[in-house]
Amino acid sequence: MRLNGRFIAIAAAFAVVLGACAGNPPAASPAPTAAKTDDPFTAEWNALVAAAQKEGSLTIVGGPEGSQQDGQWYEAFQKQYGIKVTLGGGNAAEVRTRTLAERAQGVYTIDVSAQGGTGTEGFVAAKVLDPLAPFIINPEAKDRSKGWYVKEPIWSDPTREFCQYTGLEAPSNPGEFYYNSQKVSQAEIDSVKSWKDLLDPKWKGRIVIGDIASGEAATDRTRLWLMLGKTWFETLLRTGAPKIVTYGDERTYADGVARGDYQIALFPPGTASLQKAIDSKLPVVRLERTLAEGSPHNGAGRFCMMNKPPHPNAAKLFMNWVFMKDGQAALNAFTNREGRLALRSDVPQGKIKDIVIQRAQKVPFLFEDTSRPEWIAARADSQTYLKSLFAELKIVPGQ
Amino acid sequence: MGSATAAIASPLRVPRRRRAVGIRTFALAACLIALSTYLVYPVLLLLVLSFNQGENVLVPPFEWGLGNWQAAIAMPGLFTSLGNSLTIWSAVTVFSFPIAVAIALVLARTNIPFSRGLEFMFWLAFIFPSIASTLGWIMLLAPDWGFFNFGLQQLGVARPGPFNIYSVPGIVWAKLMGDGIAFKVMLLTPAFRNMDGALEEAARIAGQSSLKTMLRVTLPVMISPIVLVLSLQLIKMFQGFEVEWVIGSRFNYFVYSTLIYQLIRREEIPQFGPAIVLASVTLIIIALVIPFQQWIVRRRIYTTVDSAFRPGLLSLGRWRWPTFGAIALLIFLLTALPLFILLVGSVMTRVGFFNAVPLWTLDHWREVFVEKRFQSGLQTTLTLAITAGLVSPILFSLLAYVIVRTRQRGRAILDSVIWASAAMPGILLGFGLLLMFLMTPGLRILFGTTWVLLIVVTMSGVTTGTNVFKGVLVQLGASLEEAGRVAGAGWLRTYFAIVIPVLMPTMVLVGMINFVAAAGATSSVVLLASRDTATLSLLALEFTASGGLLEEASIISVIITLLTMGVSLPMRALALRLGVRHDVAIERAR
Repeated sequence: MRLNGRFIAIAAAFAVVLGACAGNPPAASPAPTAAKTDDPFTAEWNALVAAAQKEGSLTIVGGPEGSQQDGQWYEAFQKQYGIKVTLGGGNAAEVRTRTLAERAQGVYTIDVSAQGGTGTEGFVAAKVLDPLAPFIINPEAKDRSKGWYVKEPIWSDPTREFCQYTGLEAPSNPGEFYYNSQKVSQAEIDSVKSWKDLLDPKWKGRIVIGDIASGEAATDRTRLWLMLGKTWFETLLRTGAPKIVTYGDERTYADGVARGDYQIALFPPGTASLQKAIDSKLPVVRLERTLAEGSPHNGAGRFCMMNKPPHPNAAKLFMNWVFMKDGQAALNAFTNREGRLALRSDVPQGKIKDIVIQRAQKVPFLFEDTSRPEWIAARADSQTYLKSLFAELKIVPGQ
Repeated sequence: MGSATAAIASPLRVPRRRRAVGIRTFALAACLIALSTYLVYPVLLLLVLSFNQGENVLVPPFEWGLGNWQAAIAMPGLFTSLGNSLTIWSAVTVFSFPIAVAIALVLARTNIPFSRGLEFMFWLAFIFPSIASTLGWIMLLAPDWGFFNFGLQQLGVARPGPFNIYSVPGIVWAKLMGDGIAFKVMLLTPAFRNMDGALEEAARIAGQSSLKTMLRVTLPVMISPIVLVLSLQLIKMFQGFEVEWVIGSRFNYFVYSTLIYQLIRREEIPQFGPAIVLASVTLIIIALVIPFQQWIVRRRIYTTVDSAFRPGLLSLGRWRWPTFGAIALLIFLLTALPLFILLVGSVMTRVGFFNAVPLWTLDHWREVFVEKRFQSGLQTTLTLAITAGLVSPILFSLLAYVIVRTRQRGRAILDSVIWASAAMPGILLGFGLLLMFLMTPGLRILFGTTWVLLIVVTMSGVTTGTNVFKGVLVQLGASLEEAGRVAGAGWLRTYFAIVIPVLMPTMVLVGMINFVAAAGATSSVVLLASRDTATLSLLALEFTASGGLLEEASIISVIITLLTMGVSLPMRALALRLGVRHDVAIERAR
């Protein structure tokens, strides 16, 4: 084989690509120096930080959107402590399958779960989590008497033992509400004072919803179920002739709204694509006005400690950090989730919009505890009912 | 190729040597056991677990029974999805096969201009990743915003636009434009080129026209590679995944493989039992295909390349340039158009929206390049693709050689195992392998590493690769090997000194297939890859499936395309330079 110049050039270029792709270790640790102190907590904390840094890495499993929406937040932890954060994830079924398969064989790869509702419930049911409270040791994370919107830990699991919310959602309405500003006139949108107004025949065929029978927009669905009852859903589906997009098909949903194929958009599969459409100056508008039913706040971003984590100290450090000022400030600085903000009111506003802060500060402060039995029951009942109604009406999402 | 003696009456068998029980036999037995373990054990594991009707298939306590089978049989979507698979496969085959055979015949046996160049373009079309082609055609044919529909609306021709990629015809079209045609042309053309031209010459001397000669002589002689490719196509009915998922899931249209994926990955509680049962049905269908294919392979005389090798060219007459134009147009649709559209879409703020502000942006490219998963994905993809491209031809040619040329005990079992492995949809085989790596003490250490993916992507092409080599070996006269043996060379030396050089073009073909397959692997590795070892194609699929990141997915597809072309084409050129050319140019030179 004769190696000519072109071949060598190709090989060299390839080597450069390979070299460029080689993974870099996390940035040099700016680890706080373990100052000598007589304070037992400080000593304990410094020991924890040192042990976590010695472990060197942390594995978080999130939902399908985790990397896109929260990646920079986790990177802030990585930068602060020099601990490499690996984010795994996928839909709930995928994560659950893989995790249980691993654990059945004694393989433990995940430290922290940051999944959505379905995934978290699956982990609680599978008994793969440790009780969370004993791991929260830093007073800055434990003491919620000052500088917090909610003075108690917000649990996501019914036993109030395993998973806590790390953020707050201060939505303008109990459910996301978008519309196409070219197809829906200002007068028409102003005429909507209540969610019940959407049942008016004039909206027939103009509304799009996600596949709520398959679990789409579960929080919105449960809130409205509790507020308006099943009659509202029944009327919407029987007489409103809404378009229903396939489960998870965020792009079709958002594009349809942007084009005006769908004029009113409820129960979205996700909001990132809608927000991008707004940012691109397409005629998509989020209804910021609060309708008659009002809107309670609720927790957002479930975090749980896995049992038998491969990096127990890094996991413990992280679970404290997310509630400490640094972690909460990073949440405000980096979250890409519309309407979400830190649980703490004593951290910088970051990229959170003024209107979201104003809603979070409104008085009286209404809070929806999603770990209460009524909420859990409404979540299950609403989905069961909608599944049967979809079947009865022969609704096939996407068609 | 050196001169060798003429026709062989039947598939050659190496004469049995009574003393041939030694390290060679032991090595082959070990190879058989290793392969069988790799291919059969996951299947058995899944089949056994299909009778576990416990709450979780994976976690004790197990509860044995027929519940999963009953549920699967009662499941309304089961037969629908099988019917859908058949519909898609039939439609793709009905369109692609005649087109591919016709193109291969024209390229190999006629005087069409630039036949080598056109054949090369079909290689490029094959290299073009299926996910990239599909994304490109989504951007062209999506209802309302697809470029074709948008253009027609702007011209006032049709409102709304007439095309809808999210339909059954849309899936068929995307598959045809993916590898539906190119793959077959790529496999058939070399086989057609290697055909002995004596029969055609005889037909022409007898006064037959070019067309009649082609239909009555060329085509019947070529029935073996055609049937082989058709049988490979049959297996692909159960392997298709990306196109069906990316397009079909948008309108709740499930074929067999995507239903399995839906059951395993998309349900809130994974439905492994019914999914495994569905896979078992696939095995039954494949079990019917294997004897048929073997019957075809064994019943015919295939020696068409030997010392009498004299391919001639049929004249297309005045249809020469129109035929060239038609094939060039097809190649444009297969490659340049979707790639161009992907590039255009990747720099639009929101693809399909010409009223977005700004209309053009490089932000998506910037976002992809700073995405850490992209960087690690690129590294993993390069590692997997290069390894698979280099290792698989040697491994598969050895397997084919053992099956076709030797009388080693167990080779029929090996052949059956290799065929049966193709029946397993990648996602399910991946899950079986996940269990295998987790449940086998010695293998557990590999879990979560790139090594697991290397094994999987290398082996995932075993059915296609081995059968391509088998077809060529059966077609290839044994006279060269006999000459080697007469000169005193042993089995292994004959293989490396004579067979490999003769097989070099095919080795390049198989290496290329596996390089491209590894670079685009999704279903087989998705359960085995961690975030650290996820490939670019998994990232593209994730971005596409999540729906919100079409532009980013298109960029990754473009990068996969450039990667596969940028690496595999120099490899191909280099290997061809080392190999043997039995082409028309040589014949002309004579």
